[in-house]
Amino acid sequence: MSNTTKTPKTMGTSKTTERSSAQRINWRSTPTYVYLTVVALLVAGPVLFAFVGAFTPTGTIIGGGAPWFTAWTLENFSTAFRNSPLLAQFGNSVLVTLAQASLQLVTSLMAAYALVFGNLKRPNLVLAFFLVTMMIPSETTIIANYLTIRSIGLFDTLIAVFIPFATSAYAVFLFRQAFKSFPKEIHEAAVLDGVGPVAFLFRFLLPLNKPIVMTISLVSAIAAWNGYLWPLLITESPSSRTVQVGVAALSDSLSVDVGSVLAGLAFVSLPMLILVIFGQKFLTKGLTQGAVK
Amino acid sequence: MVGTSHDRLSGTGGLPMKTATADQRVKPPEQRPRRAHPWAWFFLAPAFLVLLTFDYWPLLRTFFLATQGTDLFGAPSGFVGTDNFELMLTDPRFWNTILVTFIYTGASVVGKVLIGLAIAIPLSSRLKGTPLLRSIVLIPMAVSVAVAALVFKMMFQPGTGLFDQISGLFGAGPAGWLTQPQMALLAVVIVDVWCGLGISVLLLLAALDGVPEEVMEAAQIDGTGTLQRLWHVKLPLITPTLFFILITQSIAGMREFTVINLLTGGGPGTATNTLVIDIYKTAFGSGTSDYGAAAARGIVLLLIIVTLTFIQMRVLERRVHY
Repeated sequence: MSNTTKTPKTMGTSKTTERSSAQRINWRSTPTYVYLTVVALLVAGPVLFAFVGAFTPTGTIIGGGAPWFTAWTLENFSTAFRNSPLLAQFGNSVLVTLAQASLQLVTSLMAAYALVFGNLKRPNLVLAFFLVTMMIPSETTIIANYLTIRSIGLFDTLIAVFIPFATSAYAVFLFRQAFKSFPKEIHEAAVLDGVGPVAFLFRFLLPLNKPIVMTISLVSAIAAWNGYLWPLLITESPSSRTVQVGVAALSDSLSVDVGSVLAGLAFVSLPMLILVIFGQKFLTKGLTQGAVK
Repeated sequence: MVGTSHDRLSGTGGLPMKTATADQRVKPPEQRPRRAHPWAWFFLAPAFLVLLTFDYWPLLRTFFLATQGTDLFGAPSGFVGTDNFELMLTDPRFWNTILVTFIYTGASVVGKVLIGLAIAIPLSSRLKGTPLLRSIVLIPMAVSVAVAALVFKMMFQPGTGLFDQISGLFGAGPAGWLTQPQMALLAVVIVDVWCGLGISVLLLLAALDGVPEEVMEAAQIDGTGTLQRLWHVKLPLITPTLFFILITQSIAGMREFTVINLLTGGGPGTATNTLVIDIYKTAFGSGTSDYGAAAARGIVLLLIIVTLTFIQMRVLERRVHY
């Protein structure tokens, strides 16, 4: 975590920026601005489309395609909620996301702590046990996992949705990298002073590694919220579907009512949009470290 | 099973970049034999248990399933040796699937890198107001693939969708976005590129910002033009990141399910029938349920992903460029 990578944000506001942009007031960079604005509009386009359309009366969404700012309505949302159990599925997704993210956090914190401070005989072998799983695509093991879940009677339950993801080798790896820079002597001293491993983990390591903990929680939560293939396969009844699968069903059933489908889509994407906006700092930092030299 | 949880964001179908070098550290100097703290295994146990149950065991079981035949009702019909593989490898439809998978993956990776560069390079030129633009470009990261696919599906609707309406303004007829084989393939690639654009731009920006100012200034003093500096100095300096994106997004592309399942379901015909869609349909599709054949396809996917990961580790050992 203590990587030298600078986040885009800090660089964007560095001194050089202010100087150079104050010097030449921008006539030369106008084309760049225009270009970037067009790019931003194109990138944000689908999201804008969904949010504008969600508040536009369906009849006025011209031809069922382009929404125009003619009138505002909340009708689309009530139609969407009336025609599908989207609200209940939203609750399911919240539960799954909380369970999956916190399980991943706890199990990988514990594993990483043992890897670094457990005085293991062959720590690299144990690490390899984790890393190898990152090469196994879940699409390969999905049939076997489906059979496992069916045979232990968890099919069509919320537990089945998150239990296979109760740990994350990637998180173990990132926590291990972060913990390695922690002085071993302090750990030894704390242990001699009678601090137990659990207490050490929560009183020393966690507070000192808040940024990486935030990053991993955020990434875990986003991944859990966005899951699609596994929840689609392992649940069946509308009441145990997650919101991603539910909104796909809504989109099928209301396909002519464009406004309501867009309302459902906007509703589903809102939590993560908010989370990403507020967690931007942690996300950019966490995701670029390890990838950029 | 773990792979899925993070791959879309960080492309961790492969290993994180520092693995190769991180472990070749010096051995601990202590002389007395190391004895694990008694609590260590207890701490490792939960994660171990999950990985054993949902990664290692199903992997073994997949190899076993691949040797099993399937009767008309989808029940296993006993050991058939390598029949599933022979059937698969002699089936022209399977090779079409592989071809589609590689075209899809290749096109979307190239799209993510090129469009990513086209956005990241001007963004990194430190203009005023770019922090806001930088945030906007991250939007695709916040939107789930399912939601993105469904929004695009609406825009691809024949005749009434946004895309056909816009092309209609220029007098063109409906493009058949999801009904013409080649257009459908292009459509799923477009959606996949959009979904991966956020992470691609994020990584490229971090790399471009990391290029030392002095290097660029030195190049400028040497009298190189802006484009020359970009091509001969900046891009070579960020090759490790380009390579990282290339591999991780290739892995993500090979594994993509949501976009295709929601937009085309593999169709029209077999135009967008990638390996993962094929695995899903073979195992759980309506009517057929051939776990043996699906497991064999799963093993092909595994081989592709493992190969890509090894290429990544190999090249990283050699430190792509500096």
